[in-house]
Amino acid sequence: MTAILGAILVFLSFLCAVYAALASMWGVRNDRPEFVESARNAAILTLPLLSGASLLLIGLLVSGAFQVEYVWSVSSLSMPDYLKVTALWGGQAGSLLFWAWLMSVFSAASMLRNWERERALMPYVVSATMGTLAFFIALVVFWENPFARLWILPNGEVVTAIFGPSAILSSLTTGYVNFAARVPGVLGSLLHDVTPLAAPLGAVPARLLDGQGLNPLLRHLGMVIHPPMLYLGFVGFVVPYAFAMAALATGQVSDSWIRATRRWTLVGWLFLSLGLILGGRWAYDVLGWGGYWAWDPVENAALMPWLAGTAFLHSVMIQEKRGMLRRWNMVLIILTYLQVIWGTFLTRSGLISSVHSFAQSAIGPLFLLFLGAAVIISVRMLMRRWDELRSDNHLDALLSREAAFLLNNLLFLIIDFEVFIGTHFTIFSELLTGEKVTVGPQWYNFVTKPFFLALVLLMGIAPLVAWKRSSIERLGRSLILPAVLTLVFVGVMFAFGFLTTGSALALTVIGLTLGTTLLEFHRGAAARTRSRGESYPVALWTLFGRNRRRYGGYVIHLGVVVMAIGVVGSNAFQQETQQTVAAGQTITIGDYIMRYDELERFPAVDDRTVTRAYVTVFKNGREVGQLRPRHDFYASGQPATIPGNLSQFDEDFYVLLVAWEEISLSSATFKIYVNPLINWVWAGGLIFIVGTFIAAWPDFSEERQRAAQVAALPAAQRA
Amino acid sequence: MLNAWGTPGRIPRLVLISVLCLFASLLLAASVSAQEGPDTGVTDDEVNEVASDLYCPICENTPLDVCPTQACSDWRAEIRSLLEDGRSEAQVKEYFVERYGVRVLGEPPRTGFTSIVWILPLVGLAVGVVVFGRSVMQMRRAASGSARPEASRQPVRETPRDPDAAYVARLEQELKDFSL
Amino acid sequence: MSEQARPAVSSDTALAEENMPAGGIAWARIVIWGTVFLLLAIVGWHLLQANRAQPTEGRAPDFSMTTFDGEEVHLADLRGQVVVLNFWASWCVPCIEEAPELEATWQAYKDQDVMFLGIDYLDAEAKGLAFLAEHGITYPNGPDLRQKISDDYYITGVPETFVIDPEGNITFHAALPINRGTLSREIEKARNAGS
Repeated sequence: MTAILGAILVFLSFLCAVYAALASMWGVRNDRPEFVESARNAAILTLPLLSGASLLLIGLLVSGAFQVEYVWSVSSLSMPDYLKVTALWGGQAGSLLFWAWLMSVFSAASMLRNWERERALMPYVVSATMGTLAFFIALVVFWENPFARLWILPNGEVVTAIFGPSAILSSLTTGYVNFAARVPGVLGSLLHDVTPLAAPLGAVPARLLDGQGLNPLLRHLGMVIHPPMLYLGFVGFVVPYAFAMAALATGQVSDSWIRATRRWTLVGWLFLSLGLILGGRWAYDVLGWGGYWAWDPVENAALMPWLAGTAFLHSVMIQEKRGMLRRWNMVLIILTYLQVIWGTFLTRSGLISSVHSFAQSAIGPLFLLFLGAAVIISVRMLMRRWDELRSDNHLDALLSREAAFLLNNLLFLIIDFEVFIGTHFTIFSELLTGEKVTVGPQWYNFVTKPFFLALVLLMGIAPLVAWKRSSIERLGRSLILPAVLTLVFVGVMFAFGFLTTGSALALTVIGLTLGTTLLEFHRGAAARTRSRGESYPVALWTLFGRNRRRYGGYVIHLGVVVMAIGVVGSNAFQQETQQTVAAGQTITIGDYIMRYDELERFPAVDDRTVTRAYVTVFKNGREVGQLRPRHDFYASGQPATIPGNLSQFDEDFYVLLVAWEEISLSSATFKIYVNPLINWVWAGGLIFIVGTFIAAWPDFSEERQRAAQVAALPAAQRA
Repeated sequence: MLNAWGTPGRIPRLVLISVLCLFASLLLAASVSAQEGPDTGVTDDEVNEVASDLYCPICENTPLDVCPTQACSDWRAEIRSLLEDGRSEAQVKEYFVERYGVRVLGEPPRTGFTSIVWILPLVGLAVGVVVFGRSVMQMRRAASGSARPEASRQPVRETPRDPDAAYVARLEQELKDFSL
Repeated sequence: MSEQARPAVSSDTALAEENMPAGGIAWARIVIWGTVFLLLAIVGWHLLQANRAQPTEGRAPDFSMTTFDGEEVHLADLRGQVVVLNFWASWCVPCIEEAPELEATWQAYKDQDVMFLGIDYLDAEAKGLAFLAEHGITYPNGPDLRQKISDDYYITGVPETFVIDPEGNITFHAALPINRGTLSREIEKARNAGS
């Protein structure tokens, strides 16, 4: 019953989304505002419908309704409740529904928030958001339906279907299946893969007592947060794209669409950044390979839209300030949107991992179709308004902030391009030569490092470069103090042999940017102190209060700098060793000695056998901690290696219990990493997030002003 | 004990020689037992050194040093035995490439078809430079017909009377610009 | 109610072309459409490729292999004999199950113009040899260097077994561990198919 209700709710939301997309377009083109209004209502209606469906699915997961195929595949009796809830996004069908739900939240919010202010744009925003939503819901309803249930036929075969056997529905289903079997090729397989509506007559419900349970690697707190963050980030960027399309459609390409989407962009960007950082943290904590970023295709799929999105985030400032880079901004937001869809496609279609898994579901071809349509529509609309997107102003000098932002765009796009090549080269090579190649971290680090460094440098210099035109002397004067301090510091470290050439260069750039960013805070506060007589802390506080975007942005840059230091430290100076020892013996690495004390082996919740080692860590002779690295073996046969980690300010002592051989008291293999400065990565991430909150914090007096302005608009303009 | 030249006499010399012999034999014994010890030959670290640069032919994007499967375990053992035979890291990699293809390497070879993946970033850079140049040239041209008065937007003074006041005033102006 | 005025595309682009650097828009169009079609074509082709599965009929893809004993084997040279092709690996658990079945069937047919070939798939050589020794396999086995043979036969895993008739056509394929009953039946079928 619950499953049927859920299926109906999702189907209704599909109808609403399709109707909203079409009615809105039709209404605005034929000057029938009542259709636009009704489209808006339908769009908002998708929110309660999808919320209901998602909550119902969560209910099914928690209650263990294993007749529902999705519940069977991702849930099991032994899973703790919180994991059962997060299993909503543990598998393909549920995560697509979850994606759609989040999309409906954001689009409803944009309907409610922006409707009055951007009246002319909103109908097209409805179409664009609802078009995207309709696609995802269509995937859920027709091909990956989480409410499909398992049925057993008289001959013992197990089938899935949404409804049980009934005279009308079953014959309809059979008729459809026969029809689909006659359609050839890809289209035929697409039609064939549609989730059957009803089970054949004579089928009985499959009464399964337990489910498969979630993949062991996903049973961790990180799994709870990481995908929702990423989805929120992806979905967050769909709204600015919708506004961009609306701007192109209406011809209002100057500033209103940017202003409207300023916060949406920041919100989407915040979540995407959070998702990426948390993903790295999860990998470090749980996946047990000692690192946090492996340039894995799935990670890259989330990184690519982030790169284009960050470029967009910066570039819109130029459009706001000087009416320039309009074409760039359109291109950037379109690229971001396309990469959001492409990234979702990549990770779900299996295109990257294997030729065979790609074709096994219908998802692949459908995403391609949607993507193709999105490219064609976006590019056509952009080309139509290309001329109107001319800059208002011209570039006065090469050394100007406008040029710096242009350079910023290019650097981000080059890195985006490189990540794209690397991620897709495996498939490309397999297609053309038949031989697979691996593009690993070595390649990515090699090709992206110079550009990332250039970005960090630009991050430090751009705030010092004036609008329109800046003189080299002025720039030089501002850079002297940070440059000198950095060079001295790095020089001393290098002279003492603490640094390699590469890391010295990197740290010089990073130090310079750190200095100039801190100097920006100081200059503003000092200026206020001197001219307004405010005390320094008050001046600093007021700076933030009155100029949240700018100073929040500087805080974000600070976060990036701190993260960069952490990245350099943990990459360039990582130490590792692996040894097999018996209980009582020790392993030495660097300043550390680790003693293997004890071993425990016991069954745990979740059908797993835990093998846990107890070790004591000494640094320079003093005991600094006790760790418990463990190796979990799940009933399904999958292993998980959970590290023991001693986090200190300057480095991590990270130990893994390796299962190359049988683990016992007389012989256990440990792999130890000493990761210098790794916690700076997480600390930097925290600063980053705080900065984003500062930058995005609504200014309530500004809100009131805008509301007053809207109210003052003549009624005709508003309606 | 010492004779006229300061060199030790006979008995001390005997003592010295026997001490030295004892010392030497202890040394020899130590080195012999080191060879007989359990960690003869290749250490795990040396295997990892090679294994971290080789990728599992079956699993996706998993280096051999972290891969948990039985097959990977066999390959690590193969690396170990090859290293014990005296092969260098490069030779081990070559051996693996011969049997499993170039996909075991962490980065594609820089020659042949896969050179594309190394050249493309350079192409990207070149295109970036060209686009930058063209955009700058394009942006330098006055893009709109009428020149808009810029004065009201940015009071940028190179030599302000009071630099701080001007700076604060500029911040305030930007604040105004960012709002409605 | 009049439709919202929309400039026709042609005049738009004409205007744009006046103002843009010569060829700007044309370049943009070519690049964009080109990329779109290229991408779609590649992935579309990939899709078609992906639907290829193991051959169950028709000419068996030819291959050459050097056995663990150092002998060169060419499939083409085995015309006139029934060939049983078995893909296996030492880390493959079901292969343990079928190894004695294969060996027994080989013993029964080895003087009757039937050839058994074992292809060691993605395996460490030492382990492969150990596997053969442990199960007493006597027919020729060799490593599949660079997975050329496995790729040609579109293997999706191990074990997989093919039976090839004396004309060189595939008559049977199984992606499961095989037993002697099924195998001997298929060998007989292949033999009679030839004559």
